[in-house]
Amino acid sequence: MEIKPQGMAMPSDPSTLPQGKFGPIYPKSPACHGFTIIAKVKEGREGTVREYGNTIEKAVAAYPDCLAPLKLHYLRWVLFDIGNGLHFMYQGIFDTDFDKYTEDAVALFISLGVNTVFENLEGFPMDWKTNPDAFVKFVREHQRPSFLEYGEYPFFSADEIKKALQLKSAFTEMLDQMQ
Amino acid sequence: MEIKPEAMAVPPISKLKQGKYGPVFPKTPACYGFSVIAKVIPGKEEHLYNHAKVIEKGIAENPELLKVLQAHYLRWLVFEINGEKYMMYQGIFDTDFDKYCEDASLIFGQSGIKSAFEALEGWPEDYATNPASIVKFFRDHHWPSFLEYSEHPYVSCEEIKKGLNLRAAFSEMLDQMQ
Repeated sequence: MEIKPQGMAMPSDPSTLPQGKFGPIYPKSPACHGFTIIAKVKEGREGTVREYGNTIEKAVAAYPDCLAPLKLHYLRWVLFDIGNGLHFMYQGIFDTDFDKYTEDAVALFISLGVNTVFENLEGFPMDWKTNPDAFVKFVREHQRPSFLEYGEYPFFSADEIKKALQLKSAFTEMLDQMQ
Repeated sequence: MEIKPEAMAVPPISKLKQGKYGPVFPKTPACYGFSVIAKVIPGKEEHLYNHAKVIEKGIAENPELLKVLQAHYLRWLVFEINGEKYMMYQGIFDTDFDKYCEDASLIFGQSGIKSAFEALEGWPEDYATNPASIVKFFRDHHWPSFLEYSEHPYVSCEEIKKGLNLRAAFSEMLDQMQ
């Protein structure tokens, strides 16, 4: 098997995409599925948003599999201000499709009994726990799709990557034991 | 080996060490990376979309085109705030921030990537002969994360590719033993 890096120009007009339950179905790219959600932070909430970084770090340290249902590769949370007020950005690379990710996230937060950092963003529906469709709608309205994506090891899922790394580690261990 | 997902609250810039060009951004479970945001020169948006096809074709013809960057994933997108268009370049990679910028400057001329950035306000006109100006542009327009997470933390591209190749070879061997 040869792993060939791949780039993909993404459709620039979402209206040309097939329509799913909540809107256009974004294609899987060499960088898997993903999103970039950008929304303005409510006035005075920067500290609360930043504190979520510590909360998530601690939660994952205590329960490393707590985000497993989301099928993530990577997540990044960014705060930026380019002259139009403080904005929050949620970057994710994951293996499920866009809507499933959102639905799984809602179910996960409810099951954990935690609030979401999104509650500090303008326009976020505060009744999201009983109105998951409103959560999906918010995410879709604030999603900014890529026009180009690139993967060095395209289309592999996080599960495949983890199995491969574990196999490589076991093989290394076996070879060490054969010395 | 057990692979444990990990998250890291990234310290604010004011608490980071200073390096050659400015603060040294730490390696996180999601490796190194950036989120570079710059305003699109009015009227140049379509140019960016067309450029995506050039990059797609370039990589299809030469899959190692961007190899020097040691990138896991890259994403380019355009978004609008208050009627103004911005481009964002997101990257997850293995070299540190400044080395990535220096390496990027070397391949811009070869790959045609330069034309994407030329559509952005503030991009240095003398970038082809002045790599430090590229580093400065990226640093001036980079917004560091305050939280990063990875399902397979701190693992490099090369390690991942070797693991995937080994697994494929092992699978093939088992097939041949049937």
